[in-house]
Amino acid sequence: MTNLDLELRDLAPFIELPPERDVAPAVRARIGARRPRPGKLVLALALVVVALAVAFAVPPARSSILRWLGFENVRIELVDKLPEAPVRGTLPLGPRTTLAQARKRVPYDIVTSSRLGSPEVHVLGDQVAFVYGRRLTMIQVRGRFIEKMAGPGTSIDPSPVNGEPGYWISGRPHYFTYMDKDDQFRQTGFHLAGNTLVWQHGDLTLRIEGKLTRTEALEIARSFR
Amino acid sequence: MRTHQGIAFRTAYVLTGSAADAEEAAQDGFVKAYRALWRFRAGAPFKPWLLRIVTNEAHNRRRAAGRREALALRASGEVVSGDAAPSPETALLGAERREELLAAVNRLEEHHRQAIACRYFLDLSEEETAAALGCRRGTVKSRLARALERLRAELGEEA
Repeated sequence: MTNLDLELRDLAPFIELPPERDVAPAVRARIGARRPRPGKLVLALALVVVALAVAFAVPPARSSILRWLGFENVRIELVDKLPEAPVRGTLPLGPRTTLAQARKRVPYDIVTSSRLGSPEVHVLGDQVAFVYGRRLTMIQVRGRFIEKMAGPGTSIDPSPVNGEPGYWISGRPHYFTYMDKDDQFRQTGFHLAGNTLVWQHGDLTLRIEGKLTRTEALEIARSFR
Repeated sequence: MRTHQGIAFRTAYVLTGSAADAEEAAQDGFVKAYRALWRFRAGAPFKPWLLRIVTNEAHNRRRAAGRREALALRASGEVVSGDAAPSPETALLGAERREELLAAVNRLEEHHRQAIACRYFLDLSEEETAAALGCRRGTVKSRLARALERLRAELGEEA
């Protein structure tokens, strides 16, 4: 290294740089407020605020967020350890109904697969769940902010489905939570989830959970139209 | 995000010469990066990928604004350091030399000045500098070599 190299390096701490701006709050607000529907801006912002409250208020030992990934209404956090938060056993799927009834109850076109036979259909708010025996559950929802938290031993791989973003989350079980909305927002608690493929389908967020390999999950995911 | 926002903001500042533009570029860049995260190749270094997105925003603003502020030394001329304070004479000499050196850097052509600032003042690696400047690593090397040559000529020094 020449003298000039060294002098330039030595100059670095004397350079006037403006104080660092914390852009995180603005970025989070903008991410949450993407494509707001009329009258939904407040909802979108509130969802993000609630999501942040969940992410940062996990007692007693707060986990460090190492990195986060996501798209649209999905946020996946990689943490150094999973928080010691109470975990609920089963994911609430809502009462069982028929596909025809479900179509009347949710304000979007339900996507289905012709490959898997007839599932049990459950509806909870705007969420529709298809249960295929014990092996596979597919859940679709529009607009709800969901969050997954993964610790060491869980791997997260980008896995686009039909050209839209998706992630395959596998290995050790991860935490899953979402913001429920019945005109008010509440945290529903953490649930442990096994291997999951979560992906975007237009303005819907779809995910399948079950005893599947990534290849099987992707094949199944692609069949939902 | 907080891990990277400092360097993203500083790099955008060096490129735009404006704190307001740098803040906007960092903000827009992070939002774009978030939406493009699913395209990020797992295992690839994250910082250059992010810097490329943020600095692309900065370059756009730089082009739109036209003029930029030159880099300046801290007003106090002091830096927080664990070292013992230099003697007044040494400090004065040091301060003059720093003024001279930075003035020479500011007189460089834009792409040379940016390469020097990223590599030396922000301590970015060659790969990160290439990402920030939107060019190849080889181009960073040649720009730096040329920039140092020009600086030596400006300062009347031999290589």
